[in-house]
Amino acid sequence: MRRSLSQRLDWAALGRLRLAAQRVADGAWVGTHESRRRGAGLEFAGHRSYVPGDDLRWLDQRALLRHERLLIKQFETETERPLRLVVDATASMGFRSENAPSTKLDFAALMAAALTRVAVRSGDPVGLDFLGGGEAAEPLPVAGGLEAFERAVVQLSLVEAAGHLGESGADLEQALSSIGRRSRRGSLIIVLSDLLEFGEAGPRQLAMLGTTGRQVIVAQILDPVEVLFPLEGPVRLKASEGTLEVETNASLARAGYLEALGALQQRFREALRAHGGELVICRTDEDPVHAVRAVLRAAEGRRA
Amino acid sequence: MSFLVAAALAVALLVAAPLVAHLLRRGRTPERVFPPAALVTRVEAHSKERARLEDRTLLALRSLMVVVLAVLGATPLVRCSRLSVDRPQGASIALALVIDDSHSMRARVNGEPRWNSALEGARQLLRSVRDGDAVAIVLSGKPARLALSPTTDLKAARAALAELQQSDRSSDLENAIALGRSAIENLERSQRKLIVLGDLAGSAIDAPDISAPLDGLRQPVNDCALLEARRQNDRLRVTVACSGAATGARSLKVVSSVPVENLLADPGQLARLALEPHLGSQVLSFALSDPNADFELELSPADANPSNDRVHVSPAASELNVAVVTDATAAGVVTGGPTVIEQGLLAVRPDAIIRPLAMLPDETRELQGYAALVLNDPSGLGPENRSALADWLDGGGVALGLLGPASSGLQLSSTLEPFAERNARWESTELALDADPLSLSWLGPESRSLEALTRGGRMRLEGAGLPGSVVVGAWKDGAPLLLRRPVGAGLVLTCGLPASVEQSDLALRPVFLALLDQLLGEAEQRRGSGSTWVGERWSFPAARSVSIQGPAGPVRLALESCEAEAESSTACVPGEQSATPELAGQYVVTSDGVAQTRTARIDEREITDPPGSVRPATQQSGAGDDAGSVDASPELALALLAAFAAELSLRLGGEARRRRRAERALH
Repeated sequence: MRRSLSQRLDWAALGRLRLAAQRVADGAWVGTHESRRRGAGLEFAGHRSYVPGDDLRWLDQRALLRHERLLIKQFETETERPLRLVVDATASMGFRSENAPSTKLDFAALMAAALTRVAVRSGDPVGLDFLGGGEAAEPLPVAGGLEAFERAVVQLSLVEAAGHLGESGADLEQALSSIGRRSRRGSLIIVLSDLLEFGEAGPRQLAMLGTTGRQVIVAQILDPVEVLFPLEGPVRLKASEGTLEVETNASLARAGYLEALGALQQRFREALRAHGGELVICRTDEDPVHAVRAVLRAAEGRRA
Repeated sequence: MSFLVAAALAVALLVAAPLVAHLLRRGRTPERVFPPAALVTRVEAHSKERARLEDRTLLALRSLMVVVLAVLGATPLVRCSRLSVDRPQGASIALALVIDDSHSMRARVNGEPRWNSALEGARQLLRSVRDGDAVAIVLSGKPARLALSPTTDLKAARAALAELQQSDRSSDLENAIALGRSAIENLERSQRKLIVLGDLAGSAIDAPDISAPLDGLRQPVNDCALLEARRQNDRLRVTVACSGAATGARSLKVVSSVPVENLLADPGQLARLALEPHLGSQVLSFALSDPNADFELELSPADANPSNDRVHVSPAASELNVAVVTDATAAGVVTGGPTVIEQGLLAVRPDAIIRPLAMLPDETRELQGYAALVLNDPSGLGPENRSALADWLDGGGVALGLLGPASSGLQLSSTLEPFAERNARWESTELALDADPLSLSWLGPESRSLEALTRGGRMRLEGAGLPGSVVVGAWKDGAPLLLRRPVGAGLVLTCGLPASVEQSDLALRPVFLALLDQLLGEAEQRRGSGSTWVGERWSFPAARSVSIQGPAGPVRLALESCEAEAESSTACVPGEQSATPELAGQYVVTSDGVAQTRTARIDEREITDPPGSVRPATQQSGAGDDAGSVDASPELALALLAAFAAELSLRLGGEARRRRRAERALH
């Protein structure tokens, strides 16, 4: 039997998350956010080549006669840009090493709340989706205003790290397809995940979200131990989910691990960039303001 | 071993527990959650690395703690084998430690010199002494002396003990025990203990108040010693002494840079020599090819006491010449032969050369060859005699004047100088007068039989002493019997009895031999043969520039202050310089620029006397037990505490190191 929201909610945690998100958002705020789309409007914004399917009403007949080329007139207009946040809440996101300030999920929730705050302040609607996270991980439809921020904060404070994406990648594909279907054209999709369970098809599947005018920014959130692998001597490593156990000598395996991690990130980076997206690496022991700024810069086209 | 001890010690079996725990820990690789485990490659741990016991220091410490805990549980039933002072009444005690510093303590027993063992025993005893206890330390090397007056300052006692040095003296245990006993007898303590730490050579202790722990010191040792290598004209007389436990033939070899052919007339004699040891001394004689050569002899193979296996042959060694001036009829014996004086001199010093003189020489040069002079019942000394005698005495001669009836009838130009004033007079009496043994105690135990010394009378010496004379012996009525007077570098002893057995019983008493022995000792110190026992004091006149170079470097000279001996009847000359050779060997004495070689030799009894015995009842008297009566709990508890602290600091240190390493890696 599901408990009521008030029973499930940790009000103290909610308050902390709200305040922290506001602080991070204030720190990351870089001025009025301007969502620009080219299309029908009042102010001429230039030409582009015609492609089949373009509305013939915008065909520049004078240019056709003068240059014998099919050019479409573009007009600039201010419009809202929906933000869809996808938070990975699988079990591996619950990892926190001895010296780390928080779990990866907590860090991702803070970043998501801060980004929501930034978007709401810019007048953009925000939607929230989860990968894994159990029954508490309920998606939020795209909505605008402070109410959307409050709902997102509540939802982020409720979610717990649980479940996994499955070894085959089918679950991931299904989840991402659902997100893609629900995301409007021109949406900004920010995925907050450690990318450790996305499998071989993960980069391609994530990059596919970036079609039809959408932009995908992936923030890979890692624990410092995962970034540096500072372990020493013989050790038996257990994955967060499944039965995978690796017995190794950490000192000897360090170089190989860092190389493998770098290769994984490179695969995601290349796949995302091919579709206009970007990969941002975040550590849970860094200042979340910096992490949010890096994501925003990546969304504005400046690579982190 | 009782059940409790066994049970407590059985706890020590748990020493295996830390080992098992470490082995288990070694076998189990530490686990941790690591989400990107799939990115980590498997690396098989090296077999040696897996086999290595982690934290071996911690393992050793933990095992040690278990063992110490077990032993602590077994205490006080388990005890240390060390000396301690037993105090059944629990009150403060007065303790006199008599430590033997004689030559025999140099012998090694089980590889350790007896002296070191005795010192360690004394240290252990001092550790068990508490505040309020009084401690005195007496050294039993001859003469016995007080190294530390009774004190409650235990720090001072330990410091005094640390400063003690081994010597080559003879043993004087009997007097040392008497000294120790007298040192603590007046202290206000309920219990007085006298503990002897030595080999007790030639002695047997059966007094109930004396304890003699450290049985190991009294084990017989295989020892042969080269006591002396004395040159006599063109021959070399070597004295070798061996203990009763000495075994194995010895050989002698010359230690010199000069070829042995240039030193000995028959070098083959030395090479053929195979000395079979037997208890006592034996004298070997060799012909010298170079009477003035300076070399050493060495006995081999080395034995329990290697320090006495080498002796220096010095060209300066010479005989002890003693002149005796007496009327043979007065000092003779009815059986004929030498006079009682000559017999006495030969008895105390067989190697001395005794020369009876018909009359006292008139010239100094005639006396120069003599180290000592005994003048019996002189009928006065003429001016020439006195002048010659004064010069000889000033140069270091020692004279004994035995005054009798003939000395009272002086001719006009004659006096008794340098022995007494003219007013000395003979007192005829039929009474058998006794001398005071206490006043003559400095002559040793022989001074006890002094009853009925007189037969025909005695010399009255009251007021007859010359300036500088000191009464060193007296009659029971207080009249002086023996006077001592230094003259320049020499010494004059004046006795109020003659050697004639018709006039006095003195010559027949042991004290007479002690007096002659003292005379010859003084002569040897001043100008005699230059050969004395180790520990015998050498005296030098005041205001003379004297320096002594010994086997171990310069010898410190002491200046007589006489304060400590104010109540003693023995002679003390204020300002007189003295030195005591502590080691056997050759000494170069330079007095006013004139160098003289003296030899300090080891007493034969230090080698030949077997270790003493202790009556069992005395050994168990509890004055100093070494039979494991010490509770080791405090030491064990401290060790356990230290082990705990070390274990804790190791763990904390290791944890801090791991944390620092992790932080470094993360940044």
